[in-house]
Amino acid sequence: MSVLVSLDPDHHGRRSPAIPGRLDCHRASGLRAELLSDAQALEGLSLDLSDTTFIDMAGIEMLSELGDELGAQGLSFDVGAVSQPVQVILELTRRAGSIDRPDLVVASP
Amino acid sequence: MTYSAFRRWADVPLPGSPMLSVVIPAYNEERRIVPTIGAIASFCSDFEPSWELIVADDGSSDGTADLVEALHLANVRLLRDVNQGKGAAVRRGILAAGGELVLFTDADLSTPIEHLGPMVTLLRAGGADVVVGSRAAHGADVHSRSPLRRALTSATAALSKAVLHLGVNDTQCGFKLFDGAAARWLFSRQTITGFAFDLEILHLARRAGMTVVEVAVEWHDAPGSKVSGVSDTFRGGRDLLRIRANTWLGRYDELVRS
Repeated sequence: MSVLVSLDPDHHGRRSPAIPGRLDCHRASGLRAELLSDAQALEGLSLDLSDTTFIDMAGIEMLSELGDELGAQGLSFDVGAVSQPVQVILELTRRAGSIDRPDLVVASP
Repeated sequence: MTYSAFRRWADVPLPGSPMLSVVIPAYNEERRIVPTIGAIASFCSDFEPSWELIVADDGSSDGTADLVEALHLANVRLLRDVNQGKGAAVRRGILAAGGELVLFTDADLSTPIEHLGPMVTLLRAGGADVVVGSRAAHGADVHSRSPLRRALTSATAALSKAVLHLGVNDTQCGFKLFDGAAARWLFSRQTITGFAFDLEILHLARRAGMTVVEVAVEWHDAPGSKVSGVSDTFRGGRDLLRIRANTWLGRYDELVRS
């Protein structure tokens, strides 16, 4: 069980790693290793960012690279739920042309 | 929080003057500016529907200004100018701001925007003209501040108390809320454009009889700080002496009367 990533079951009983708090440059590299390990245990990764309060470019790049790495290993990757701040940040980051990752963009509520 | 509030703010220009203006001074912030705008937009759109965001670009040589333009947000204004220092950028932004309340925040968002709420409550209750986010106030939650930054903050606070008699323990935190009229009055009289501009603004506020209140905030150290130890300490000390000299020469009394 990760100390940084909660793996509590959601209301459907699925286990999606959740990242509460800030996903920033101070946490990104440590989280990447934990999420890789979780992804291998779960045979893929559907992240829960619904309690993530802020994500910076280091966090976005970490998720992007993680998606690439899991894809290369044949494992699935997506972002299943996001908080509103994270959704807005991802939307603006894509609008500015800084990322082009459909798996990091969640449909508008 | 409602996503529709953000969408409305992003797409529909405000019909008149905003209730709240948020000013971000930015110099070579292409790595940070978009997530910062996103976090502020998400919070403020829900907190206060009538608000604008002003990015005062201080002559960035990277893609900061182009990224802000590329967002095409209806209530974001980008002010471009040549590099003149953080104080000049903040002044430009605040003098362009139309809000009844004006916040300036650093582009690294070291203090999470959610701290705006209690500061607005305090200011609207009539308890202050200026509310200063503080890393030195009781209850502040400071994460990962480097020994250099800690030393600089302490030294600046001690010097400003000794030389200017400012009763503020953290003058340099880049998260300050002003009554809009007070902000425009203060920044139109600002003479220092560099790193120590906060000291002059707080000094002017004190001489004008304004109420300045410190509020404890959360603060996260962000890499890529524009603070450079020796040169900024030197410039800060020089600016402090300029403020002291201006005071002796009666220049601030003239400015306060004007």
